[in-house]
Amino acid sequence: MSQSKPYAPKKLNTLHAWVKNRIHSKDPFVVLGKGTRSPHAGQDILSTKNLKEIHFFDPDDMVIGIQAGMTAADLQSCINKKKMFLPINPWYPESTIGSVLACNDFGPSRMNGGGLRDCIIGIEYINGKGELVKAGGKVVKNVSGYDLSRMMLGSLGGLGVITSVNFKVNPQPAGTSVLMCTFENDQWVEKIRELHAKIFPVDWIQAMTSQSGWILGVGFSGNDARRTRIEKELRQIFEGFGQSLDVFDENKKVKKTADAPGQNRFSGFLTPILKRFKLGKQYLHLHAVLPTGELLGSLDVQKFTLQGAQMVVHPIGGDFHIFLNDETPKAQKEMLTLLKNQLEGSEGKISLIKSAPELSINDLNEFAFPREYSLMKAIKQQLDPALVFHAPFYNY
Amino acid sequence: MAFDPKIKNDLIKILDEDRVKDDRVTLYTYRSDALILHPTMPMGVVFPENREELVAIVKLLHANQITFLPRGAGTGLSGGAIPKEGSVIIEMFRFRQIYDIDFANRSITVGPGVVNIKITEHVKENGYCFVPDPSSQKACTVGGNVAENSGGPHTLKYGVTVNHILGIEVVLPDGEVVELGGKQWGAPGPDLLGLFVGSEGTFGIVTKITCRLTPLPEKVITLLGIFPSVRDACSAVSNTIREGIIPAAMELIDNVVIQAVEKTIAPGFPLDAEAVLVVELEDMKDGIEEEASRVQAILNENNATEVRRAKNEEERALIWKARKEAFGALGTISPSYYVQDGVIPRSALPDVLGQISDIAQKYNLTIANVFHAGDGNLHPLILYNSKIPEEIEKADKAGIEILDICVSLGGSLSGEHGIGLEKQELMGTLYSSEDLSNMEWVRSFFNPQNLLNPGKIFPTPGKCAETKMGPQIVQSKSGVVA
Ligand SMILES: Cc1cc2nc3c(=O)[nH]c(=O)nc-3n(C[C@H](O)[C@H](O)[C@H](O)COP(=O)(O)OP(=O)(O)OC[C@H]3O[C@@H](n4cnc5c(N)ncnc54)[C@H](O)[C@@H]3O)c2cc1C
Ligand SMILES: Cc1cc2nc3c(=O)[nH]c(=O)nc-3n(C[C@H](O)[C@H](O)[C@H](O)COP(=O)(O)OP(=O)(O)OC[C@H]3O[C@@H](n4cnc5c(N)ncnc54)[C@H](O)[C@@H]3O)c2cc1C
Repeated sequence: MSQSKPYAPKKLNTLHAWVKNRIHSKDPFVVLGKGTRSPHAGQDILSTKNLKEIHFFDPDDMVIGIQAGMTAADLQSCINKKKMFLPINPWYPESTIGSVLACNDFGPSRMNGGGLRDCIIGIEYINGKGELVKAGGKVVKNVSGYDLSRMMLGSLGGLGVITSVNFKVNPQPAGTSVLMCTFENDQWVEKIRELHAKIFPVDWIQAMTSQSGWILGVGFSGNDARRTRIEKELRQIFEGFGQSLDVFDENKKVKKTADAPGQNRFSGFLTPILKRFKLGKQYLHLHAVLPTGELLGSLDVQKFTLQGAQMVVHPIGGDFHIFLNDETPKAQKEMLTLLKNQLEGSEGKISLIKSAPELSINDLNEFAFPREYSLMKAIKQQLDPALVFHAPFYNY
Repeated sequence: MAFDPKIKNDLIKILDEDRVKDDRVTLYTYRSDALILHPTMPMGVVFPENREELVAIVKLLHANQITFLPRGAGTGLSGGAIPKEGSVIIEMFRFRQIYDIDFANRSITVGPGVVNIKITEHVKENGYCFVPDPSSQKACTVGGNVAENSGGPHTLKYGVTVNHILGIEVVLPDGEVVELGGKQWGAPGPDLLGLFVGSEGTFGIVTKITCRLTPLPEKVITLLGIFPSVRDACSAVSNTIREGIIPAAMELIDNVVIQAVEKTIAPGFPLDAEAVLVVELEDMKDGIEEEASRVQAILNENNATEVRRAKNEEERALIWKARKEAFGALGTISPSYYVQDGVIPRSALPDVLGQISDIAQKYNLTIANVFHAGDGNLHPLILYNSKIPEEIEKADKAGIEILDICVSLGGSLSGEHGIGLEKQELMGTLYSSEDLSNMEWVRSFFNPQNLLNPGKIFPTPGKCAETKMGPQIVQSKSGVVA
């Protein structure tokens, strides 16, 4: 019995009762936010997108608790009003926070602000027994019991239905700036190596391909004196190497920096970048993570661009996105093979975010799975005994 | 308690005679960690030196259904390393290797027995540090830090242990070896590394740890605000953070502690001050002075009678010595004390400190406070005399009342010391029985037979807080072993 439309109740207890029933009758389903990230043909869908309450927001204590259906954009605007921000980077403004957690999304801000692991302080979810359970709390420091909120990060819908989450939020810095620099080729890698060795407190670094090569953005923040000094140091590194170099004060020149991840201090939405990349319908999107040293040391980013890839790279912290507009499975498979060859022998891992239907997680081989994958599969078996939380990641 | 002769023989085959001990002196020494709540003799203590030996020991104990637990330096304050069921203690202190220092990845890989402060000592010259800096950092091990998800004064700005661990190697209770995380920052799938950190030695025994290194700041400014009341000092904390300034550390020391540290360390805190607030700012040298001026102004606006600034590294070190050795200094004014670790929303600090003082009055006890004010992480030290049974009972009740306040304000039972044996019976005040059984369900994945570190974190069926906590303190001369 397959539902055509996702079931998306507005009330938590209705949703809870539905999940309990499914568990009782061992009837699998897929839990989604808005639900476009992965195809789930033939599965019944439960969506948490209509759970949108704000439980609490205490700027003085720097904490917020919300339901999982709130979108990233709404969360951003809510905390921005009180001059707070979260150093996480949901990829799309419309992503629900439940899915951001379940995918453990991150972007450029992770470099200095840490990822979700560093700002999640509590969670509520429906477990594999159908119980609505909590872990953590609403204070910024807490070691009372196991931190199950972290276990649910990256769980990809396979360990339970996330219904609420509590975050620690940060006050916005006094000011933010971005250095933008364009390069014809991958000389920026050398410059980032230099910057990395200088132990310099910048907030984020993002390089992305453009029509004429690469655009590098380096974000930094603080009061005027701090930013002036960082700008001076950055100019020393970059001036004379890129084709053009400019520093923007985000508060004043937002338009010019519309692509910069620091925009609105929430940062990292891929949407403006994807617009620039003019992607079609069935493009390839791969996301890879690898140690910083390997990215800066041995990865040859030009190889991907020569084969038609458009890229977004976060060199420190070590992750990058590859987009290929060519919709043919052959071209997409070749790009994947190139990536696998480049990561051979490294600790690098790949996620297949979007592709032609001919490609699947199977094509990633061992690159899809972290070292602890067998443990992940086993914990899924234990915590989902009725096998109701359908999630392909655990099935290989 | 002692080893069964056959088991002892088998253990000696894996290690050697010197590293398998069950003599009375050893058993007595290992009967508790830094919290002598209810000391229990272990069956014996073993001292492996490498992973292979450890795996063989774990497999042997597992096959014989003998309970066991790892122990680092034994500085834990919640009884995590107390062998509750007369278990075998596996001393991890000999896992002291530094495997790999990798500046390109800003990481260092070490054995779990490495003492916390040694990590920073290894990388300081290259401009890096390992951020978690518990006050016990000269003694405690990184393995213990991972198990407890320890904090420290500087975790206000940089986050607690979990934020500084990239990967671990673990021996599970059946002897299987697994690796979680690695040098890359995260990978697809559930964050099992994040889950493991803070599991209080109940999921597995850590044998290798890759720690994240953080660049040392260019400049550090240490301010000391002197306050006529604890309430004013607390308000200064809340107001600083409200302005969007997150110092590296904000530590409050009250008058009782001032008296004690002046007797031992003599940092020059005014004896008539009701509280001093240590505020440390660290960053690039450009811009930090403006921030320091702003903090200074906030302290003044909140009635600081004086704001001092450490003029050099010696003065700074003395302030931190006083802060970090404050627990020990209390020994000069009280024979015993009992430290709590509850957390409250920071904005409630001024009121809660008042309530703690009311509790002290109600029980006619002295309660000293020295704590991570920026995080709202209280450390009330309840002073009592262990020779007077009524005082023990009063200290116990006062402790529970303080934690009750924390929980009622939406706070937590522990910010960094863990639940262990000490607060397990109070977990029901924070979580529903379903929440707790769900956590136990997760534990049963890693530790299905509960052979590893049993009897911790979760309430014992059929016991309640009031009956449990009381007698525990009786045996303790002091809440903390010096
Ligand atoms: C290729 C692509 C391009 C896009 N482009 C744009 C764009 O240009 N502009 C724009 O605004 N948006 C864009 N989006 C985003 C999209 O419209 C929504 O933001 C998205 O559907 C929201 O859900 P999601 O895709 O993040 O996650 P979903 O597909 O809903 O879920 C992702 C994962 O999280 C899990 N999950 C979700 N919720 C929960 C929960 N409560 N508990 C447990 N697990 C959960 C799911 O099981 C799944 O594994 C794009 C999305 C994709 C895939
Ligand atoms: C004076 C004093 C000040 C303190 N200040 C602070 C502070 O500021 N912040 C703070 O957070 N804590 C503080 N503590 C508490 C304590 O130092 C920390 O909890 C510390 O992390 C414990 O480390 P340890 O090596 O002593 O561990 P132990 O006490 O030996 O063990 C603690 C727990 O860790 C487990 N464990 C040990 N090694 C391993 C391993 N290899 N694998 C798996 N589990 C293991 C044990 O089973 C036990 O459950 C303080 C303690 C004292 C005595």
